[in-house]
Amino acid sequence: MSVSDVERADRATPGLSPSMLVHAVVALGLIAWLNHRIAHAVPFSVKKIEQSYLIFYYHLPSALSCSIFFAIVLVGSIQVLRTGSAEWDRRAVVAGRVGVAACAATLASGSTWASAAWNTWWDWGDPRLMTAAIMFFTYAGYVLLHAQVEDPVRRRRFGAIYGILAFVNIPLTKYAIEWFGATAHPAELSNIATDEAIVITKSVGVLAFFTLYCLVYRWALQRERTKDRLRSVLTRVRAIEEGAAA
Amino acid sequence: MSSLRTVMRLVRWECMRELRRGEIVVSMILFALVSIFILSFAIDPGTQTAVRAQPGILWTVLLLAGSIGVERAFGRAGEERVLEGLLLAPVGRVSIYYARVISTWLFVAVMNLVVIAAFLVLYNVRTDFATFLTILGGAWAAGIGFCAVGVTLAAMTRTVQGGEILHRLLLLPLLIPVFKGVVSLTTQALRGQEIGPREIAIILAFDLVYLAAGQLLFDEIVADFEG
Amino acid sequence: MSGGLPATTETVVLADRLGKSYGERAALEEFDLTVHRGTCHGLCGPNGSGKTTFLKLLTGLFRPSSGSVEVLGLPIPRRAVEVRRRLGVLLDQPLVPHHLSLGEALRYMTDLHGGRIPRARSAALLDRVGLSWRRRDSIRTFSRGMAQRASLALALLPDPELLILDEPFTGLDPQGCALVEEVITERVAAGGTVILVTHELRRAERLCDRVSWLERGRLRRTTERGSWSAAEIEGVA
Repeated sequence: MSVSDVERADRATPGLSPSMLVHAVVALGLIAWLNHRIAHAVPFSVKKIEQSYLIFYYHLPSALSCSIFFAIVLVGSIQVLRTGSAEWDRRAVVAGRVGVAACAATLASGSTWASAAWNTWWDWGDPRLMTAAIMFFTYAGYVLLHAQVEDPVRRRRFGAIYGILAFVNIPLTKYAIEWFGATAHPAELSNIATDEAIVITKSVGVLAFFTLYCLVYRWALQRERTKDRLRSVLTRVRAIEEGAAA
Repeated sequence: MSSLRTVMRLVRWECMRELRRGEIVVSMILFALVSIFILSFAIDPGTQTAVRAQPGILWTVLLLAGSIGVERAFGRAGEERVLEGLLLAPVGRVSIYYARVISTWLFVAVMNLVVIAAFLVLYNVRTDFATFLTILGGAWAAGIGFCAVGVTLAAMTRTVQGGEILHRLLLLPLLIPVFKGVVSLTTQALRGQEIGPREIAIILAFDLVYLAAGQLLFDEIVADFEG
Repeated sequence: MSGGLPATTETVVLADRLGKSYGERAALEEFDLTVHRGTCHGLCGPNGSGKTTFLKLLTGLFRPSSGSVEVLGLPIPRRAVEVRRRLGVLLDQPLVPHHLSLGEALRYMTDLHGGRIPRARSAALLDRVGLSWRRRDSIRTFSRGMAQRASLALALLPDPELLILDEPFTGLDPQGCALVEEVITERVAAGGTVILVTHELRRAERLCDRVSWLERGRLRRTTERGSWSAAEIEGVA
């Protein structure tokens, strides 16, 4: 492996490679299709919003996970600005990517379910749906910014700055949309689904999905660490080579 | 005190440039007017739908036109090195930030004035002067936060390849709250209603949050300055 | 500065194990430097040796990754604003809006310094750099050499205690070069301090009291005037 190999790999990896993007779209599409089928398979009598609890077993866990990962972005960003830590920067940006993926899964499952439950693919007036969509765009911007700044020190710092702005945007957006719109979501999740079996299933669902996302997170974080370590080794090798040449 | 004077001096130099060349204000206004005409083909201004959509149309246009202005806050032709000169001068970084926010706000404010007036005339909105002032006041108030966050982001994206597009991608999602607020405010104004406290609250919150964030973060952005 | 002060041992620049790295790559490492008042200090080295990085650390445009630097007794970048009042910097082009005329550029610079500079000084400086006749023309229309002269006037405007010149001879005609050399000697004689960054070792040897040689981000040697033999200069220059 030569220095230029790593540089090429490096250039290709900060965001998504085209083949990974295709992979992600196919996966998301399949989930959405499956979800849509399941939603329509539910007998008509239980399709009323109050009883369409089936979605909570995987839609809600994705939504919760994505919030947790966005919170990690905030913590990581603050740490980066305080200490300039490279490790917190990796944690933040990987959390951002996983969070965006979880957010996309939330939107896809929510939208397909809505088509069966509320008879519309996208409810423009629904605050939670809209807030999630805005979060998706904000954090996608965060991931993109992080990928596009070339200088590593500034990449870290700019990422952290937008990581903070993105989080600040969440409550503002939430209130703005809630104040100036109405919801189709069940008002209080705890009001429906009080049945013990449902609560257990829901909790297991949250746990299962969160564990799964965490696995992806750790996996991706490990990959970033390896990449950075490799880069540092190669920089040193190059310095030694140049030293020998001079 | 002395830094306030420095800020005003810097703003004066910015305005002088704009008065000479009209680069930013004129391109924002022209862009807004063209957009208004394009939207008139999408939604026939004579219909009832258009009347209901007026606040939304107006604000979409103002938002996109304004984003042209803030994106240019640091990146005009022949001025690539001006920021470096400012950073090397005995001027605090907060002063540099506020000077850019204020001068950009002035440009956006002029654009708002012209475009809102033109919109009300072109869409044949029968309204009184007080309503016009209310809408303009809303625009000017929202413009503070808009410029605060836009200038902050422009300071980052100026060094990035293809930064113009990135700037908009980063800016637009952050503008949703204030957009909701001003659209609602404009709707109320056009209907002759009182302006609700929530509209004012969201605009003020937006201004304060992003002015504070910009002031705190600007130093971090230019900390390792690369031309 | 009152003229005729002998070179004292007062320290104007003090870099202590200063370092700057971009991610993994170190642009400057373990850099120690002391510059005394009333001297001209040369920084020489090939491209990419860390000269510009050091200047950016010195002027507070960069935050150090390690070590520290003090200018005029004040820590950088914490008290950089105070230092910059007493600092003149010449870089590869005038760092003012290029649509301004030269006269306006000087007024702009005066404003950046809080308006404390008398107007007569701008006029005298324009005469000095030989650009009075182009006072009303915008800087955009200037040739490379004229822009360099304009930069010199702007750098000298606040009558700086420390003058930093980054490759000041680039693009200048012989008279221009002579002018820069004259300015350096004059300021040093008057008790001012000059840091001259150049890759021309020969010139630095002639003009500077001490010369530091940088290579790949490290300080290789600092020497008194006349320490480099002609053969050595030939070898690196």
